[in-house]
Amino acid sequence: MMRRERITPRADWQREVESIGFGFHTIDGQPYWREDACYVFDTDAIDEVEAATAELHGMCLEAVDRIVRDGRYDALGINDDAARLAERSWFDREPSLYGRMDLSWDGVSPPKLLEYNADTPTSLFEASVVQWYWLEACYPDADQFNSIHEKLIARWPIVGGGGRVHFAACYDNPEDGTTTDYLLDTCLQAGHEVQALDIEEIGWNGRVFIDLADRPIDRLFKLYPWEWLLDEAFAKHIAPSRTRFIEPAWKMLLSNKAILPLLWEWFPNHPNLLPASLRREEIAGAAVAKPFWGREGEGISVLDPHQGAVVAPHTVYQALAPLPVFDGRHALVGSWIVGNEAAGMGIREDNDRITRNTSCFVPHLFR
Amino acid sequence: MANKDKKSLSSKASPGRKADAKFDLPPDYRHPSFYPNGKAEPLFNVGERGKRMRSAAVVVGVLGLFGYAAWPRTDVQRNSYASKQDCEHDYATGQCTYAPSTSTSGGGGGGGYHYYGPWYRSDWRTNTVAGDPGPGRSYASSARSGASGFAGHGPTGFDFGSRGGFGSSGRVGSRGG
Repeated sequence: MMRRERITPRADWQREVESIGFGFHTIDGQPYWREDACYVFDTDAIDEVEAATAELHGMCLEAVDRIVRDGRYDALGINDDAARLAERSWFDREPSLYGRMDLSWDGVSPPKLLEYNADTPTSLFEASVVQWYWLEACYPDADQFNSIHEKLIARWPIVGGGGRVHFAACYDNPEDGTTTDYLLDTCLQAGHEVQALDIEEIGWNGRVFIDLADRPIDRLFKLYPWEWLLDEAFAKHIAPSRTRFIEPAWKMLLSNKAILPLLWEWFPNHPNLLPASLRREEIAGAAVAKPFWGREGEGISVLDPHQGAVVAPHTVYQALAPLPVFDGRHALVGSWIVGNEAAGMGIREDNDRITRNTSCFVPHLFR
Repeated sequence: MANKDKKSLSSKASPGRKADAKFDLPPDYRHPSFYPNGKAEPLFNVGERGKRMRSAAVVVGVLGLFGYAAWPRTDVQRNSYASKQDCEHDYATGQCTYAPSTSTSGGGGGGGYHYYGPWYRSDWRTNTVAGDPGPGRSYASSARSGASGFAGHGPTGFDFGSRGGFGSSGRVGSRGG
């Protein structure tokens, strides 16, 4: 069971969420955080989304292994340098910190994987912290699928190594800055030394990447897509550097939407997958065209049954699984993975059937 | 945070109490990171590890510190010296470090450990930037006078590096997903 309930927001909800560090609750005058509604589930539904997320995660890891062992990089449109990095990180068993699977799910039918934000997922702070405080304040007797925070802290000793962890992002973007600083906070609580810097401040001294104090960067959490790193001036230094990246390079295989046809090829008709292909004609009926590396709804178009392929390279076609509509709002479930465990859920909704970075975040609970 | 994994133990077994990670904690327990109504906390309260390490309000403050940074692609270099005294002759005490050479080319004075001055912009002659430590007294002086060597002091070589080699894509698009 999943339903949307209209509720009364806290009288001064803006101040409430600001007091816990949530600064971008309103974007361009429109609320991004909405607590005039919430999504309500029963425990069976939560069990289902948790199990589906774990199942999908297992399939994704299997897919990475097959790509690396079979050399299926052409299917993902990545070059030899990127492939070597992904391969090395996979064979070195570099651990992952987190990811978010976007699911089309109505609380009844099996959740369907729309995409896996495996490399640079955001909306983490609102899912982990903001909606939790909302729950405590408004529904203290209810529960929430949300152990993201504890699992992040427990994960850092595995991904953080033994020394200082550096955090790099485009800090002029509030959402990126908040996501990165929140992760830095969890790392600090796990006992690591930390250092934040803007992605542009990273230096190269001829042998290693360095921070502004010229200290070597051994572990780098970067909220910056792998395909961008590999397209920039310092790309040639990544392989010879000693830096371990978080997320590791193999995650670029999963954040690439071309993983969807491979998953469908290797796990055909799985209840949590949708038919997907690089060829429009192989997807019957309505489909969604997605660029390999698009983010936040960028470049996505919905194709009617009679519409053919889009004129764009590196496009994936996936069978349309319409998002459920509640009160006229299209709801998208983001299911979080921390390490190798399903860790929680965040829901974004939009008037449009494509979820974008301007879609609203709405809290949830279950009873 | 609620531990969803434990929800099967929830109110059915113990009415009125939620089975989550805070089950056995005092009623006034708050999330370890964020005390919405608490007093301001230091950024890195390492002396109280195990308690709250940083308040969310401070997270916002940190964002301000790092906001709008821009570091266009810049070549940088640092001087190597034969002795600490030579380095401190060119720079202030505390600006010199003893470290292994990082240069793979360009004559960092050979391998092994050296005394180094701070990194500075390689275009220091034509582009003066506030906060850049510059090439040091000896090198600057010889450059002005046109001298080809250093009398007793001065660098024995250079390490070369750069900054700003990441981040260009981030100026034209969104990052998160």
